Amino acid sequence: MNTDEWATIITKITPNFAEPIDDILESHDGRFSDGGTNRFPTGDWHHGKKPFKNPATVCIAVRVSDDSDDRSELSMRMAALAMEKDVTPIIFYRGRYSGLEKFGFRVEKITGTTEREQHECEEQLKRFWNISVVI
Amino acid sequence: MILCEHANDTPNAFEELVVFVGQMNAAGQKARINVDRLPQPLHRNMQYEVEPFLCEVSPAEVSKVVLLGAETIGNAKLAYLRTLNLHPETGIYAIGSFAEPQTKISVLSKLSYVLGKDPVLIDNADFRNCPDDSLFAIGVPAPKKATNTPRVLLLAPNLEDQRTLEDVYSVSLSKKYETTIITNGKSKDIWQKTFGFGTRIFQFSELPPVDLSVNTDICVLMQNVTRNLRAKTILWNVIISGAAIIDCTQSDFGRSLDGFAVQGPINIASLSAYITQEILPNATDLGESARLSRLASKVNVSKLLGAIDTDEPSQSVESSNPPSILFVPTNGVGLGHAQRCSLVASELTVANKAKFAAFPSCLPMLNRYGFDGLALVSRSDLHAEPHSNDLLNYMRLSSSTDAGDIMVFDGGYVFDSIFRTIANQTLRSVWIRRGLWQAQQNNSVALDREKIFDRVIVPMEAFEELNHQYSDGPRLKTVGPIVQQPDLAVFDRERLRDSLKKHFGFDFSKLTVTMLGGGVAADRTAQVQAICAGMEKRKDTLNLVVTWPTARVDPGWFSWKNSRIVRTHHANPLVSACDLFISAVGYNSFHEAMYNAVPTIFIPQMSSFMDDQRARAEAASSRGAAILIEPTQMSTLDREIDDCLEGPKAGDIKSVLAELELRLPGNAAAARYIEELAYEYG
Repeated sequence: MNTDEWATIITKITPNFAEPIDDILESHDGRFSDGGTNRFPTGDWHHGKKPFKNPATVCIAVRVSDDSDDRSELSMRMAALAMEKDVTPIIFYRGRYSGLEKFGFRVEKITGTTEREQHECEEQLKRFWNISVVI
Repeated sequence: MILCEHANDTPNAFEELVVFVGQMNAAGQKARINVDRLPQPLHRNMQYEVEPFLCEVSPAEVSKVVLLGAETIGNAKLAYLRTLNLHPETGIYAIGSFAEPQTKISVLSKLSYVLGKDPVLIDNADFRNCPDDSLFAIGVPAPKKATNTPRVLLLAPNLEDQRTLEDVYSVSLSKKYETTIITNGKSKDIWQKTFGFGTRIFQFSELPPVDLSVNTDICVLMQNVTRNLRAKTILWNVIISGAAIIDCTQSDFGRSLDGFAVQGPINIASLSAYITQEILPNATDLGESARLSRLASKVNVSKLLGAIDTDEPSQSVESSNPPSILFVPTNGVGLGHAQRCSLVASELTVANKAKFAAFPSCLPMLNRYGFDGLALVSRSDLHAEPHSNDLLNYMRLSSSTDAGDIMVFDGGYVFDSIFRTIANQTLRSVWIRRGLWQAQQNNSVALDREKIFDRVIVPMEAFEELNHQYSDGPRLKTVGPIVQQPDLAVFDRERLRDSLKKHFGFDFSKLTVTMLGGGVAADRTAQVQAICAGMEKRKDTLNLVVTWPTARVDPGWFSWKNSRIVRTHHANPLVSACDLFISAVGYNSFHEAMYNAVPTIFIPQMSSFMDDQRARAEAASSRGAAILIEPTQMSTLDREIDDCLEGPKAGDIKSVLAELELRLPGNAAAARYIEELAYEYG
């Protein structure tokens, strides 16, 4: 991504966020159950690195662990870093929503019901994004 | 792990390697290709075909190396093999044409020198059917689903010839058998331009040979395939699998098929009657003759496995558990496909509890309905090829399914990952295919790929003029609209409104819900802003602007006093509790408004990759069942909101909606069609 694109992302960052109202509505929805989990299939495939359009592209992974609606501060820091250092942050997130999607960051969901599955999921995504640095 | 290499680096050699490795894996072997040796660029089909077989070479994990085309080996490949640092106990097997003793000696000495041990040489002449049969191919048994209707494969017809094209078409019309055609790309293109998409027709490289060989009871050989590796491999597979073979080539190759192939008519126009009268009554016996023939033994993978000192894997025992049902919704703009799938999945019986593979934005919603999920990876603009993520998804989907499982796909475009997972995992498959395609859309890929599905479930639109038939045939099943309706056991309109009043500290008498879509197809920031501004004069009205959890929210929206920006996975009870709904015209929102009798102002989102939202809105507004506002009609929008909230319009719409005769919702019917498939084959 170029500096103009990062500048556009920076202009969109705001501490305001849409208020979640699921806790009011869920008791009126007969299908609500909240029992689902997210698996990761540990297969025997090796997924090779995939080339970028621009071979100079450098991606770094940023692990974000907790659920939060207001990610404005983190978003601003990451966008500023990306713009200055010419790197693309890829968010590795284990929760439901990282809160960064709405500003235009690429977020990859780390799934798996065991630590091993989650590790494999992360390794697969590191290969896909050609990532060697995880923050 | 068996590391497979080809001595030659040409594109044809690589294709030979990939086909060989595919066949070995179909035979239960873990045969792999070094990921660092992939030629670039690689055709898209080949990328998908090779993807399951890639590995990073670790010498400790390599038990055997199989080298194809050994007679052509040069110094560069020899140097590469040396860099692998293979362990001394690793078996080396070189397959090639060793008719000349000098060739044999040369290959043996070169490989011995670089690898430090003698390879086992395997002469591919041992796998040839006749002298001019120069391409090395092995056959594997391909699975067959039990069925009542026999399946006929027409292999390699030349449809560029007008006479053959017409004759093959007449053959394909018979209802006494199901026809599949496998031919070259040009022939397939001619066929589809002439006859449309109603026939199962594949080009040779569309799927790996073993996936194209499945479910063949009778194979009609239409051309000599000696020089076509993929066609020849398919032929070997179906012979080994016990298909009756009809030879219509009038060639020495056809005549060399050991006597088990029966001669077909010279005039292809009479082939249909020949199959029906002469072959069908004897197909089982003819198939057994093929399966037990000398040729079948000669080209069988088990012979090669013996030559490379490898055991055949034991036959896996089929599970008696009910098959898993994996729903794969591909959300385009919003969450519509996932929501629709979840409604159908909720109607399945407990034994068939569904799982989902979905994009991350959908998973929290699906989890909240109790479904387990698998995350797919979204498309990336940074990667050189737009399908890079789909290769990863192909791997995830294949790893999540077993033979006999059911995949239920909901989306407009059948991705390669979907198409190929169904084929290579021999899944039973259902496509939930919503209609109302735009007239200018090119849906040829979608219609072509319909052939891979066992069943296509078409959820209908509420109004008859919106239903169009894009294809036909026994696999097509139509159901009423798939729509969420409030569960009256838990939904309480007044209690919900009271909860909202309390939560927002706003004692409203009118509740409006604004939900104009995800903003991907068209930016609706201005429309939302205009609606919020219009609401400021209404002290008795609370306007809830519902956004997707991952959607960007314009900072300006937060400054209005009578509007609140909210997000939820449970929009249905909210919409059912409001006095006025201002909405885009996606399938789900539209039908919820119609079936739940909610007065609605529709503002269509139109984009070339979407369904025809305007047509939907027009159908409702022409009946007085809703109001259609174009995105630019912001002044009219304000007036219509006034007419609904202050005047009689909302009441008029409600009266019309109450009188509408709508089809029964199709949620349960769709679930039954899926469950039928689960038990159809016993």
